[in-house]
Amino acid sequence: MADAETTGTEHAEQLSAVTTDRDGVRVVTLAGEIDHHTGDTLRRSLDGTGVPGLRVVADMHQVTFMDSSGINILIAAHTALTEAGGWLRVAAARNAVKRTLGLVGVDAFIDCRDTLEEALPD
Amino acid sequence: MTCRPGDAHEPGASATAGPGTSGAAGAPDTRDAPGAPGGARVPLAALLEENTEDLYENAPCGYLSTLLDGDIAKINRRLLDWLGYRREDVVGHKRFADLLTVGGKVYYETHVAPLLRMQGELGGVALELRAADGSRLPVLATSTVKTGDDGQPLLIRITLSDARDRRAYETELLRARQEADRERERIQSLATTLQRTLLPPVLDDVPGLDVAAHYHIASPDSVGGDFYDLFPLSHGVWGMFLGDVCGKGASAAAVTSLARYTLRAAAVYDPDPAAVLGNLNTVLNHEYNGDDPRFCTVVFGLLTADGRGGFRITLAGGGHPPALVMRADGSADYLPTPGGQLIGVLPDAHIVTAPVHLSPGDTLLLYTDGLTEAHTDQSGGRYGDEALLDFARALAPTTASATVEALSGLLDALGTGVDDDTALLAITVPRRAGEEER
Repeated sequence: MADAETTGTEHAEQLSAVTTDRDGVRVVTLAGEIDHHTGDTLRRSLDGTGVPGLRVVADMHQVTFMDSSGINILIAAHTALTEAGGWLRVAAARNAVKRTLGLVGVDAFIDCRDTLEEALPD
Repeated sequence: MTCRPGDAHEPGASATAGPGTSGAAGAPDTRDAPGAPGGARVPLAALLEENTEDLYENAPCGYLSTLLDGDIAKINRRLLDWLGYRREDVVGHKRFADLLTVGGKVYYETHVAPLLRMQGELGGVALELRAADGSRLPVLATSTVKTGDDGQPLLIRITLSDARDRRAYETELLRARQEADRERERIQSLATTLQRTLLPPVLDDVPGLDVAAHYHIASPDSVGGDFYDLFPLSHGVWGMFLGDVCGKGASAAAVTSLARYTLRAAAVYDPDPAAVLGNLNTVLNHEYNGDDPRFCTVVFGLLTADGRGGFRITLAGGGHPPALVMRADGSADYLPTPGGQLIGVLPDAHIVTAPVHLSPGDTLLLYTDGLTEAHTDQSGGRYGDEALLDFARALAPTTASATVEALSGLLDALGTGVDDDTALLAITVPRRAGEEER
């Protein structure tokens, strides 16, 4: 934890995204609701343009709701990061969000972990 | 702009020369040649108005002074030119109000004059002058009351600026606004028309089945991505589907259209529900694998009459919220298709099927998540799956049309809380004549 450094904070009305660096992994701590009003905040926080091999963990433990626009953004980010040699993991999603991830079957190809620690590389 | 006449010239002083010289007309104009031979610099005074009387008469605005009762005592040349009057027609013969249109006159006497008496000055009053030839001239009037040394009011001074440009500007503004309104109506009508092309105008009449559908538009400005259809495949066999393209607007509409026609064609090619969604997945995956990926969630059902008045249905789920079945015995439950993946993302999406049988009195509902994700309060509450199940349990036993009517009423009641389009498609196997509700 000692080397965690906050590198960015963004607030939409219903969603905040705090970005920290954990040993070269970008951890995006999200809090609030993800829908088409707040999607841009999520999209920007996961954007790895110009950073080849970027590894991102979206920490969702404070996300209370996510709809299909959030799914859209996660898939786009997953595709872009993977193509650039990096990856996207989703960590600590609550049941409501887990259900959405499971319903559309995204959890089968985006790596979803129960805790942030599990999502970080060894 | 200086528009204040010299105090010394009124009233009745129109013939008196101003304190200045005979004006700039006689002075050599060297302004265009500041570096001319001889090096003569233009004296600052040459650039200034020297003749106050000339300024008064020909200023780019109208001046007049009236006595307290409104009788015109002095008027400048500019205003006379605007109106087309001679000085002798006006001075001593007309009141200021006589220069105004009927409406302007009433407005002046009931509003402007009393305020002016009270405040001693008044600006920015829009009036309309009536010229000698009957034409109208919009002006902006500024008035002050001139008082004597003892503080008693003596005169009213009025400055009139030509407001034709302003009026034209206002007219232009109004026209632009009307144009924008018309444009908005056109876009809404286009969106509505486009939306209609994405949905079947009328659902086919299925023998032995009651069918009802509803499309709830959340915003008239944009086309949503929900779609549904119900169509015959062969004798006694029908296909039905309902889905939701992630996103809104023209690009989502293009995917919606592609999805709808692909589903219909794929069902003819191979009616197996998993194969239908597999084919749609292939088409969308090839078509939209670019920078702006578009996916959809779909549920597809193959309906086969069982020959005993009921229907065997195979439902295939591609990441879509589960269908709801409301039974003749009053029970209601979701029909989950767990593990089904949304269509168009992966080259080979996992598709899950589930069988369901509808007997007389049973109703099946397909819906999109605009309903379950509708806001129910200001603090982030959503309608949710549990509320919908409770609603269905309260409805059952029911019919397709009663279900769609109740849910569209619910959508209306949720109002602006529904911020995504919602599609509903319900089918019921009607009870046989004389059959009692169990």
